[in-house]
Parts: sequence; C-alpha cells; structure tokens
Amino acid sequence: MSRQGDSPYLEFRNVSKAFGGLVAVNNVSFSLLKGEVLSIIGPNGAGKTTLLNLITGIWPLSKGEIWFKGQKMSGLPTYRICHLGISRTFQNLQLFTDLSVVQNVMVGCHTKAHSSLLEVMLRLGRARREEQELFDRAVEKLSLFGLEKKALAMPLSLPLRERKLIGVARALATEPELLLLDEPAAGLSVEEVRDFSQRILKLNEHGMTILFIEHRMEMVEGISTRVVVLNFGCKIAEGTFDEIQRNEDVVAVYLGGTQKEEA
Amino acid sequence: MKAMGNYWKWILPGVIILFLLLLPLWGSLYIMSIFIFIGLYGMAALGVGVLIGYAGQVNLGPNAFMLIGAYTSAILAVDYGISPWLGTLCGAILTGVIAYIIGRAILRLHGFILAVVTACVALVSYRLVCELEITRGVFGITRIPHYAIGGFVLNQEVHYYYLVLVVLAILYVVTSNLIKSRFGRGFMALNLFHGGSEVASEAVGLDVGKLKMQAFVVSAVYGSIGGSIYAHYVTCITPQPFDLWWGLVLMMMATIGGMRSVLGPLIGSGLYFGLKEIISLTGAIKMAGLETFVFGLIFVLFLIFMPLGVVQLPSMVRRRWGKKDVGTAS
Amino acid sequence: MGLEDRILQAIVAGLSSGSIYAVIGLMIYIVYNVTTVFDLSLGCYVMLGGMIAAVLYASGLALPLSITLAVVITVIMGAGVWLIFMRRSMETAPHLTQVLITVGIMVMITSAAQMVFGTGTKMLPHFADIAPIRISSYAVITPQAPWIWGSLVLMIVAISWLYNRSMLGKGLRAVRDQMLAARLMGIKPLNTMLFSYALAAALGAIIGSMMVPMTAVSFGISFKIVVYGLIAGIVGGITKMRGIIVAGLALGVLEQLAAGFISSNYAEAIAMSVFLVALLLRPTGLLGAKEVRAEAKI
Repeated sequence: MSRQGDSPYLEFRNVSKAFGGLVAVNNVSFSLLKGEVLSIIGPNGAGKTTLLNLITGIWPLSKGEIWFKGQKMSGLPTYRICHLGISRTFQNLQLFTDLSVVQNVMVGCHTKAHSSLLEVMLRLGRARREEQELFDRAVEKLSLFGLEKKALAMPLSLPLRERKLIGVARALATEPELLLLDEPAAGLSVEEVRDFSQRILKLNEHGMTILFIEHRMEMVEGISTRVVVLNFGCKIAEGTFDEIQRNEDVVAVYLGGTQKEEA
Repeated sequence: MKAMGNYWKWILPGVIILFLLLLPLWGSLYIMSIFIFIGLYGMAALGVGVLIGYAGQVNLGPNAFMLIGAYTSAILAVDYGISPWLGTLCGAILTGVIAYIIGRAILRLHGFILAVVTACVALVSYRLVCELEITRGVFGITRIPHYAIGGFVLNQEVHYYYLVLVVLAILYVVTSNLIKSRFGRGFMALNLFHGGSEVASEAVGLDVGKLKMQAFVVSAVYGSIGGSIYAHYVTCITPQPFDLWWGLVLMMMATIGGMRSVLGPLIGSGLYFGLKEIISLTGAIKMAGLETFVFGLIFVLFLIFMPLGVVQLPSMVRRRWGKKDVGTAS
Repeated sequence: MGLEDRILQAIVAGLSSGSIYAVIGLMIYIVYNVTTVFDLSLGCYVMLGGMIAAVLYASGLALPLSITLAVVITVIMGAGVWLIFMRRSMETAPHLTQVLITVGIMVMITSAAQMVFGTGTKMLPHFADIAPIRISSYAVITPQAPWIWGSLVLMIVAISWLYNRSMLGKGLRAVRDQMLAARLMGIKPLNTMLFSYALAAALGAIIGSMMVPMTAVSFGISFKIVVYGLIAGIVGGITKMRGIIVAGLALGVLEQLAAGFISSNYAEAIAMSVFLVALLLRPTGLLGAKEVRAEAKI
C-alpha cells in the first residue's frame, strides 16, 4: 500500500448537502491520499451514500468544495467526473438488466471508443475494430474476477456475489484511478466477504485508490488504511481502525457493537 | 426438429424477400402504392422504434419529422428548382439539425418533459406549415417533381416501389449496425424502461444527454427521408398526412410491430395499412376513424399482453412448445 | 381602444381559457398523485363532456339535464375504460408502457368520438341569456366566463377539501407514497386509482360542458388540450395544486395576449414557443427535475 505526495488526492472541504430542510451532510472535511483504502462507516442515514453521490456529481453541493488531483471537481457533470478517473459501484448494483454480462462491462469501456455515429452505422473498418477491442477489454476485466465464462449470460440469472463483481468489473472498465464502492459486502456470506476483500486488496496493490462505504466490520478492519466515521451527516472520528475502535464517540454511536468484536 | 429450426430461419425471410421483389410482376398499381406507403411510414416508424424502443425516450410528435422532410424537399424543388435528391438530403439535414437543437437543449430533463416538448414542437411546426405562405398553407404544394436519374424520370409506381425497397434495405442494415454497436448498447443502458439506468450510465462515463440527442437525430432523419420520398412520389402534399394523429399512428406502428427489433416497426406499418384495406374491403361503414380506433385498440391490447410486439410471437410460440428461448442478448 | 383596454380584454379572456387549462392540469394532478403516471387520455373527457352535452341538448333535452347526463355518462365511460384497460397494468407494467397505454386510450376514445359524432363541431348556447358584461370601453366578459370561473373555484375548493380534510384524501395520498403499507391498512390501491380517474373524468366533463358555449368543441381537441394541461403541470410543479392553477391561468392569458397583439392564428404556437424557450433557459427544468430523478434512483 503506497502513500505518495503531500497534497491530498481527494479532498472534501467543508462539504454540506441539504435536501430542503433535511441536512444529509453537515460540514464534512477529510482527505484521501493516493493509494489509500479509506472506508466510511456510520449508522444508517448518516449520509454515507450521499457523500458518494456528491463525489460523483449526482447531486450538487449545498456548501463547500470537492477537489480531486488538485482540481476543483464539484459542479462537474457525472460523466466528466468519470473521465477524470473516478468510478463507482452502486448499493443496489444498477446493472443493465437487458444487456448481457459482457455488454454491461463493454458499456464501461465506451469512454475509450472514438468512432463516430456515422462510421458505426456504416460499419466502417475503424468501427468494427473498435467494437472488437471493446469486447476484448470487457472480457479481460471479467477474467479478473473469473467471470469470463459467464460473458454471454444475462445478469439476473447470476447469483448476487457474481453480480456485484460484474458491477466492479464495469466500474473498472473505465480505467479509473479512484474506485468508489457503495456497501459492496451487503448481502454476502462471511466467506464471500473475505473473498471480496481479498480482491479489492489486490486492486489496491496494483495502485488503485479505494474509497468504500461499509457496514460489515470484518471488511473495514481487514483492508482499510483509514476509517472515517459519520453520524447524522457529521464526521465524528477519523483514523485507523484501531484508533476509531477505541474512540468513545464512535463506541457510543454504535452502542457497544464494536465492544463485542473486541471480546 | 433442430434442423427444421435452422431451415425456418433462412427459408421464411427468403420467401418474403422474393415475394417483395417480384410483387410488381403480378400486383396492381393499387397494391404497389399500398406497399409504398407502408414503406414510407415504415421508415418513420423505424425511427420511432429506435428512439422509443431502444433509447426509451418518448416522442409524441414523430409526424413533425416527416412533415419537415416533405415540405423542405418540396419547397426546394418547386420554388428553387433544386433536384429532388438534393432536396431530400437537405430535408434530412434540416430535420437532423432541429432534432439536434431540441435534443441538446432538453438533454438533462426528466424523460416525460421531453415527451411534452415533442408534442409542443409537433403542434407548433404543424401550425407553422398550415399558416406560412411559403408552405401554401392548408392547400398544400402541387406539381412537385419526381426523382430523376440522369434522363430517366421515376414517374411510375413500380419505380417508387423499388426505390422504397432499396432505401428500406439500406436503413435496415444501417439500423442493425447501430443497434449492435456501442450506441445501441448505450441507448439500452440509459433506457429506464428496460432495465437500464441513467445514473449508472453516467457513472461509467456515458454522456447520457448526448446519447439521447443522437437517438433523436437518427429518428428524425429516418422520418424526414420518408416524408421527402412521399412528396416526390405523390407530387402534391398537404399538411394532413403528417398531422398529430399520424404521429400517434407511427408510435402505434412501432409498438405493435415490435419496438426492440429492426423489422418490427415495418411490420407494424404493414399491419396498419393492411387493416385499412380490410376495413374498406368489407365495405364497412364509411366511418372515418374506424381503422384508427381498431388500431388503437390493438395497440392497447398489445401493450397489456405483448409489450414487445408482434416480433415477440415466434419466441412466445417457441417457449410454449418447450424449446429454449434464445433471449434478447445480441 | 387603448393599450390597457386590449390588455385587459386579453387578461379577461385568458382567464377563461386559462381556467380550462388549469382544470386539466388539476385532473392530471389528481391522477398523477395516485398513480405517478401522467395520463394523456384525460383530455378526452373534456371533449366528451362537451360533445355529449351538446348532442343531448340538440336532441331536445333541457340544458341542465343535458349537462348532468353528459357528466354522468362521461364518468361511467371513464371508469369503464379504466377498469377494462388500465387496471391490469397499473401495478406491474413499467412506466413507459403505462404512458403509452394512456396514449392508446386517447386515440381510441377520440376516434370513437369521431365515428359517433362526426367531424363537425358542436355548440351549446350560453347558459344565461344575458349580454356580455362590459368592464371598460373595449373589454368584455363573455356571459359564459362566470360559469367557468365558478366551476374552477368550486373544483379547487372541493379538491383541496378532499385531499386535506377527508379520510378519502388521506387514503389517496397514502397510496401514492407507500402502496404496500396502504394496502396493509385496508386501503385498496386499485379502488383509489379508479376513484381518482373517475373524479378527473367528472371534472373534465364539467369544464367541457362549461366550455362549449364559448368555444365550439370537436373531437380533435383531446390531444391539444391535454398538452396544455401537461404544460401547466410542468410549469406549476406537479406536486403543488396552487402552482398548476396559476400556471394554467397564466398560459391562457399568454395565449390571449399573443392572439390580441400578434395573431390569433399563431396564438397557440406562440404560447407553446414561450414555454419551450422558458424550458431552454432553465435547463434544469422547472420542477427541479434533476434532483427528483436522482433521488428516485438512489
């Protein structure tokens, strides 16, 4: 796990988000260094998914700024943010159910394709070659997770574990530098969580910076460099897993949940 | 049985293509003209199918594309002596540009607002055509020249029959290419109504607004071509064949035929005109609007029971007989 | 005939036609609130109410009876249409299909009307046999206007009461927000949907009859008029009744201003173009639609 540079990679500067009267994120500031694995935890409704949505530009910020690689990012449309090198998965997967597995991942590769509409419609050489390239790249991403054999299947026919991996493969297809995962371990068995954590760790070893939201503490403990804890939209603690585990405020929020794991 | 299956895949289309190619040999002028109209409205319906069926964007006024294409080509030919071929091209470009502007402008809005916008555009453009001097208002434009290749003038039914056939064949190939490409995938990815997700599409880098606009432009150009050929075939046009109700008929054609298929809208067009013929053949009561009523009824029934259209029939039958369903993965 | 006079006349006339648009917007609002579908078939009921009333009156029935009967028939038809065609897909079909079904219903009802009533326009006499009320040297209020305004006001009052005060209204809101929970509470979602649709049909038939003496009705208005209602809904914000009413009235006034000062042929086109331009200038949409959409997905 490498750490480089003094300037933060991803930076939240006094970010707030309100929906009418409801404040979902309240003056949150933190930064992420390149190569880290940062996890965000907190009770339900603490604003974690909102944070992810703010990073990816799905919702505009009410206050504050988000900076990425020394550039102000808040305010850009979502697809631009993707082109900057940030990709994400969704808590409810949001796979394209009418497309096959490989087609789902190919959609992720589209950012690298350049043939025009006209070329495609006339099936000119460049378009045909690009299409093959997209297919090959998609299969390559699937093979990272051992799913290349399921390329032509429809997503809904596969088990949850595999569907989640397809979601990650699709996100990876955009060749991101920063990968955001929204509760990736939800609904998985203990074995599956361990497997998933290993894969994410391997990605990180190859240089991917990771930010993920989780409830499953075994994953948080297993792979995070650092942890940020949110409650009611406010950041209440930040540090390594051990540090936040001992933090009184955090313990109070979880009402002894962390205590049990220590014992 | 498996051999039979493969057999059908090639024999049936082959027979149909042969039938269509040889139709003028035995068909009357009247029959040929019906097929020509099926083809012309079918082109526009195909555009509708791409937009609604694949990209999931509702266009309540696809007639506007045919209208603009027809009138542009007609006016250029009659008032400025421009060749019908060039006029058709200009019509396609103009319609495409208008679609580009609308698409670009409305790109990030909720899908339904797009639907209302398209209805407004259709109403406004229809009104403009009815009122402006340049379009001769409701009386229409007459003495529109036919297409000509060199000295050879296309002035008979059979010429237009084959012209339409050729254009449809080209559009079929081009559309199939589009659907199988990343654009087709992109359309389906953002299609909320068929398991897609605009948010997820954007998150993986798709410029959703641009894709919607592209689908819109494709849809527009197809309709425009249909309208232009109509103008040069019938040689006189009024706004009426391109009014709002025809726009809705186009939508119904695409849906009944099958929105997620390239042949579907063409089949839908065939069904509509076929229905019209049947009604007039049975000498049924000269009630204006009967065929629209029946078509509307069929439309609603299809939506309830067979939303993927007539093209869904073979796979439904296959499923009933126990064969494995091939599914929709391309 | 000063400028103020012409503006005044446009405003007065616009408030009448605008009331009609406001009512359609209201109808769409009622149905949307329960089913989350923008129902395009609703314009038909305005058309039907007017046409049936006109036909009944022409066949000799007294005016009040014609109108009442027209409303009743329209409501029954609306309920029938809903039960036969829409009930099945209401809970299961994707949104696009539901919207398309409403389009199909509109086509069916309109073409059926064309078959039955023919393509001509129908008229009714003014309800009260009084001369137009002069409010200045140029501006007049047509004798039909008070009926239209009165209907609008009554409808607003009735619907507000329904939604805010009555048990039925609470049930309607419950179905929209949490269909499963509502069902567990004993509310039948399908019945509430049917009720809203029938209610909308009733409102449509009433305003349709009110409208005929002022502007003759023919079968083709169904589409146009529902587009106006949708514009009112979009501009006004589909969740606030107040906004829709105001938007509808504004649309009517805008149209009359265009008719008075520019051209009556282009009035409708101008009003719609203004709407389109306004939408262009505020690309986020007048509903704050982007946020709404994003919330719905995540």
